[in-house]
Amino acid sequence: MQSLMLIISFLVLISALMVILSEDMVHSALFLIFSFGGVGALFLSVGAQFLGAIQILIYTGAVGVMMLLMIYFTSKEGKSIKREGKYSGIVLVGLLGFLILYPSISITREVGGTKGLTQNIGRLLFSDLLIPFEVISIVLLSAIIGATYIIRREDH
Amino acid sequence: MIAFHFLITSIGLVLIGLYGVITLRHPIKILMSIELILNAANINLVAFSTENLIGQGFASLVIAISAAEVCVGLAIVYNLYRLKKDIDVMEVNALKW
Amino acid sequence: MGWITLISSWLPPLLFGVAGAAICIILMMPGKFIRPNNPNPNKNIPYECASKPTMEAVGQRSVKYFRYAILFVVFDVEVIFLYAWALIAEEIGLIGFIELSFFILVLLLGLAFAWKKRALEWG
Repeated sequence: MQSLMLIISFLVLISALMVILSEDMVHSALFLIFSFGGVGALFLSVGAQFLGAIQILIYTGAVGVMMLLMIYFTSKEGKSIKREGKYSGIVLVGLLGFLILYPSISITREVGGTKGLTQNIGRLLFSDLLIPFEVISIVLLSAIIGATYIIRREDH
Repeated sequence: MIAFHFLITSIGLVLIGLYGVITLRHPIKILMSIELILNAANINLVAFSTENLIGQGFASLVIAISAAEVCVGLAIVYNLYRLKKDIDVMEVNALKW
Repeated sequence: MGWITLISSWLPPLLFGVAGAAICIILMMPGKFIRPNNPNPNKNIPYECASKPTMEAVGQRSVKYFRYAILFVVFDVEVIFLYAWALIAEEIGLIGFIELSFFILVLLLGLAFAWKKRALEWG
């Protein structure tokens, strides 16, 4: 189990790196979808079954399709936008990684142990996390209104 | 199970996503990098929800919010493309003083 | 957890994936050996016996597909939470139903807005 999860983490990191480095936008979206799927497998390995399912449903399903659809709308052939400030970015990110890497890998806690079944998450969402759950509906409402207003038709 | 590979994956996704947000110039790729950072936060929330399930419930709310964020972000990208016919974020300087 | 218990507990999804991959390979590989292979650049253009295409197929598309995609994503998220409610509906009873009704009513406001803005119409 441990070695399998290490392989999956490695694949997630490689495909996340390929999202940034790949020149073709469609390749980068497919690598993003693969990376989401790997994160879903990590969720399943600690018993978070509801989260594994909605990771597949929402991220690799809905968000991946939205990304591919928008690449299809806005793509221009033969034009790839290069990165900017590669080396200063590496220096900055490397510095931050150096700062957070040591205190993180010295954590020796155990992970997992709770069963994240759909019933348990549902009980939590309708008792302790009720206010955030209702606020989510308002966030989604604002997403519908904002997005339909931004891309409204011309002849309004 | 030891927390090692969860931490490594989470740190790696945060750093890769941050590097993407800093250096990339394509807005859809910047949105993809933000999604990677949100995933890294979710990995930590799920892996360390050991005593109770609050972390996992919170991670499901994070997933819902990121779906809403992708809707609005991609709508803005489309509007940018329609107005300027070019989606290099370096060219979007109408609000820059 | 040892390898044996790991593989036996994940046997059905593993079999599902293996069967899916095997069907793809079995359906696609024989054709590669049987069919004649005679590549020609003219075969790759969209209409083989018509005028040559003047531009790439990747161009500006109508945004009306995207309006449906937005509504799809938002109501996809709603259905996920509906599923979490449905499994515990008998336990939490009327209180949970009222809480969920508020959630759905707020999202129906969004649907009404999209309807009023004629985002649901095609063309």
